[in-house]
Amino acid sequence: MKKIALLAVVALSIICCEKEEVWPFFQTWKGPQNYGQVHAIRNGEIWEASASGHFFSTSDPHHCAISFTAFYPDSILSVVAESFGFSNVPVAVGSYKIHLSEVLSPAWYDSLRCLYVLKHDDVVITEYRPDPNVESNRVWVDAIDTVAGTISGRFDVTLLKDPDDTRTKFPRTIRFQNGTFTARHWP
Amino acid sequence: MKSLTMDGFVKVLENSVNFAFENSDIPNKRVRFRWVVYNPEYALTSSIETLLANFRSDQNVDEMLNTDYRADLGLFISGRTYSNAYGISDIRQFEDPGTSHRHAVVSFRAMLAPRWTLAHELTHLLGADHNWCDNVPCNTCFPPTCNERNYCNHGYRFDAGELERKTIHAIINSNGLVRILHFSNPNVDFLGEPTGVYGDEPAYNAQIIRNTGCPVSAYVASPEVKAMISGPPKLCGGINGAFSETIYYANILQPAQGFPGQPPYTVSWWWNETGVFTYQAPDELLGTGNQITLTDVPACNYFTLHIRVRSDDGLYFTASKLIFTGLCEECQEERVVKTDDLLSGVRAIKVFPNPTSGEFTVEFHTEGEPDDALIFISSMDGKIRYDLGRRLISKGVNRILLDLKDLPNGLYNVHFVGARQNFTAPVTLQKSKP
Ligand SMILES: [Zn+2]
Repeated sequence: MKKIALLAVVALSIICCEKEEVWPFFQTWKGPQNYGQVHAIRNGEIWEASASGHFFSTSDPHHCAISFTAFYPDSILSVVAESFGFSNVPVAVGSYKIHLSEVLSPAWYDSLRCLYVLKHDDVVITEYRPDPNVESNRVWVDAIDTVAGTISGRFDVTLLKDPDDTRTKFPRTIRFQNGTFTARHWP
Repeated sequence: MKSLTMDGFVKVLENSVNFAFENSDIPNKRVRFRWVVYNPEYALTSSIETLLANFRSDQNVDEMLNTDYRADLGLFISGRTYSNAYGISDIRQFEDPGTSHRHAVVSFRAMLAPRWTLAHELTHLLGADHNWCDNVPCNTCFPPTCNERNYCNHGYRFDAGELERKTIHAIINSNGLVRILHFSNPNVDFLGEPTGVYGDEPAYNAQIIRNTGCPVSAYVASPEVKAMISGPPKLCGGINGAFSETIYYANILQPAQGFPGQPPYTVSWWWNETGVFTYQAPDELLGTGNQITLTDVPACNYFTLHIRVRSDDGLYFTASKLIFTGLCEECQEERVVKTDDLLSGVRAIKVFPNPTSGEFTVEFHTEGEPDDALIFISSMDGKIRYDLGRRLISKGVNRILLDLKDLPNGLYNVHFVGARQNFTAPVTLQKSKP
């Protein structure tokens, strides 16, 4: 009996000593910038992607969505690698707090939310949602040009990897700092 | 022109997947669709990722899938269009992901030909995956996840008929629109070229769908008991047409507790040439039990293998499987023409109008010398509904006028079985109400 207990402890300590493997993010291409662009520091490194906006919604004219997309490089087919964005952003200059709930719920549906997804084209590899413990998660709308149909602003947000994803080894936390974007309406 | 009802349209969607299964030699797998108009609490949004996240976490959807419809998978057909996406899907990547990977979203604009996005997204949920990194020029390798993601098989691109062809899971951009309605399978040809490859990096999505079909169909127990026959759809598929003993299995999917059709089951095996069984001559009893071994070729060209199953609570239910034997050595002398350059390269198969109210035309193009082909129409349960016998197929464009007006509304397959080529084309019969 004693021997078995001892063995179990040894096995456990070996597991504990192993350094946790972390995968790097994909190499990406920022994509066409004809509907807008985004620039930020992601976990300390420069991150760029294409941007587009969706506003003038007839059902909800006071809110808009802003989407960022990055692609796999050297691909003539523009295969999507990352999709990131904010939904339910008020169409008014101001500073807005991002909803802090990891759990998707009716409250989340109606609030200013953000989602970051690693993809291979149409396949979801893993998802990140705002870290509910980071109060400073925020997006700023700095300018709206109703003639050109553009919205520009900034963001600062920390996200956590889907806790149900125990299989991929991408970083558990993503921090976007000094994010700036300009997005034109995509119909 | 008569407009298509939602029911009819959903049948066409359903058939696109089932036809792809048939094309790719994925026997005994069928999807059944039920549709419901759903106005969720959340907006459809401009982000397809957000819509999928909402759909996946929506408890009303869980309730509908698990209780109301007893559905294994949930597909959200969105009326919106999305930048950079026609659809999005979770992918079945684990041996047993449970029901956490059962959701996909498809944009209304691209469900059928030429992208086949609905079949694409749906079968990601069965584990089918995009073409491999080095099956250029589309899939960018992304170590270290490349090998992590790919626990089995992949889509495929290849050259055939002077064009690059893409199977359903080969990635295409908005310009390279056309995919063939095939899952990758090294054993199935398209215009003489295999649609997949073996090896360390196999392109053989058909195999993974064969493997995952049953576990996925067990996500939610159906109220109905279901029987299927598994085994090869044709005998004597080798080079010389030699027959070898072949085993067929009865697969029975139990219904949920409390519904009729509970185990244990007793299975009897039958065959005939008509597909309609009365369990007396000329139907022939082959044996009983969960499997049967065919020790010879029962009939030439085709026959129907059939199981009749009795559940413990006295319910009888059946399954049929149409099996081709036209390639068998013992059936060769029945052929009128027997040379190596018979009908080959059937291409550009068109069925119109489809859906039809009765009459319709099948048009196709062939190369090579004239050949005769067996033409018959089967319903989705594998029964032969019309046998048109042999028809001469000539080189060039062939048009054959067919009529289904005496059959009930539903889905049918038109089968052409030539000496060297055969194909199946789906057609939906939708007669207007009298
Ligand atoms: Zn895909």
